[in-house]
Amino acid sequence: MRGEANGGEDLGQPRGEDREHDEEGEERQNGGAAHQRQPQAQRPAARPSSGQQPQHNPTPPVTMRNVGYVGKHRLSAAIARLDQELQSLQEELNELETMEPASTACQDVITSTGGKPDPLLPITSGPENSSWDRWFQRVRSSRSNKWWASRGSDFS
Amino acid sequence: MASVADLKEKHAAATASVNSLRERLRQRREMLLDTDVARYSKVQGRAPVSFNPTDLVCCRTLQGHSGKVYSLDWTPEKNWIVSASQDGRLIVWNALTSQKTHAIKLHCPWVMTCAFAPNGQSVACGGLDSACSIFNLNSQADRDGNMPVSRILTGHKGYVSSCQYVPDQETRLITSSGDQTCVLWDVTTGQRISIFGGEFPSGHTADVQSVSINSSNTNMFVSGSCDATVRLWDIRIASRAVRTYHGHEGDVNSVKFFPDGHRFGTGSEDGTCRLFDMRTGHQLQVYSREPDRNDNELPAVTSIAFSISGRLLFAGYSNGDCYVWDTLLAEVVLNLGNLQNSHDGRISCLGMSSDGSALCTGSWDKNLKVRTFKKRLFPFTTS
Repeated sequence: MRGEANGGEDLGQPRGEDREHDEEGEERQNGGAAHQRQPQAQRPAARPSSGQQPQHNPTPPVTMRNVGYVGKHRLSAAIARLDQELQSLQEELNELETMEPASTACQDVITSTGGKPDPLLPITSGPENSSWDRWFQRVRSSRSNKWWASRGSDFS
Repeated sequence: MASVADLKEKHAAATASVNSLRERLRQRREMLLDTDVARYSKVQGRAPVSFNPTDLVCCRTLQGHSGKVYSLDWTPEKNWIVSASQDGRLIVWNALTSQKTHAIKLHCPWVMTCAFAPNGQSVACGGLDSACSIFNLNSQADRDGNMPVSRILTGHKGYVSSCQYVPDQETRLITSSGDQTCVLWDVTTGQRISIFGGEFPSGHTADVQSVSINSSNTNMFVSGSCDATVRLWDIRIASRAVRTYHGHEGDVNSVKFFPDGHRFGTGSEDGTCRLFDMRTGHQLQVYSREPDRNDNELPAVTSIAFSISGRLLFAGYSNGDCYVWDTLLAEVVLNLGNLQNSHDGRISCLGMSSDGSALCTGSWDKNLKVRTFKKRLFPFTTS
């Protein structure tokens, strides 16, 4: 349903692919709170660069086919977006100058998992809550037995 | 306006600057990753969670859909579950009795997501119709037995992949879409309150697959996308994402906040789950399966959920596995897909009951299953 991994058997809309073909349509004006499709020119810059490159790259390599007005307009918009992204990347870099390392957050994660009693753990901090065992109470079956499915459980 | 040649040059220069800055950022972040959760936990001598194969029993199998189950959601209060299926229906179940309380035939059968309102009185669903439909469960069915829609939220320009009500707010809902945006809706008026992404540069650059609202701070939510990133949003500031989280190498199919509200988990087409720190952006842990003997591609993660303490991370995979990860030690402690009474197909969705006592899984085998810890014979001991 959601992409390549489902074997293509379903009704899912091809993801992203309709956008690849939509070069001319990108300049259409929409009313209200419409969003503009991001120009293809910007896509390579928008790929995450941390660590390895993504395995699959849905966008084709960038080629400037339109050299008319439409191309100039789209290029300018792409440059403006890149500039804004540069700004925000620089802000993030500045933030990292004074940021604490991962170990601080790791300690927090460990501490927080000890906080709450967890019914699904073999050993957990108390107190026991008897309502956790409500799944084992015998339930009165009704006349409409066809929805009754205790035979699908590990106990009857 | 400058010539095309000048603009092209400017564009190339800006692209090069962005790429170089991204690389510096990546390196700087790597230097700050002095450890991960698993290494840190081992150093502290934490013992792994230890399950017997029969510990998490299947206590209910909910049968009734005639097509693959795509999505499920629990009520916050009662023991009800709503599920959405390829059969074009929503079913509302009383999970305790296994009975169906409602079977709702949808106008558009291509449904992908469903959600319960906080008060349990309404359900929402969305899919390929690019809209989100709201049903009031107290409505009377019409002569044909169909439940009337009480509101349709239109405006997305692509499929609705995921929806979630803002906790404690019956009137607000967030959707994610194939149109690369997320939207905050006012359910009573049907209006879009805010659009996250789209024309703004800090939005996702591909379909958005999943959202998760922070229950500790309901102004914040995260979205996972086919652009391989997760973005954090403040609903009061739609103009730009608060932060973008890199690391995954494929579509992010599922995002869920960690119970403490300061971290979140992700599941991806790249076969891994990850834990990110919301505030700093650090990738705290990767949960990566062993490749199989034939070195085949890793199965994709379709859906994730945390146990109520966060100690367990449940992950459904495209091959039918449902791993239970020890979040702290990054080890698989159980595979619910490999037990007696497991699903016969891909696990498409997972959800934890609000008190954490039961996990529900939905599958392409058309069923839902509820699992809980086996009945305890002895009092709980402190850990």
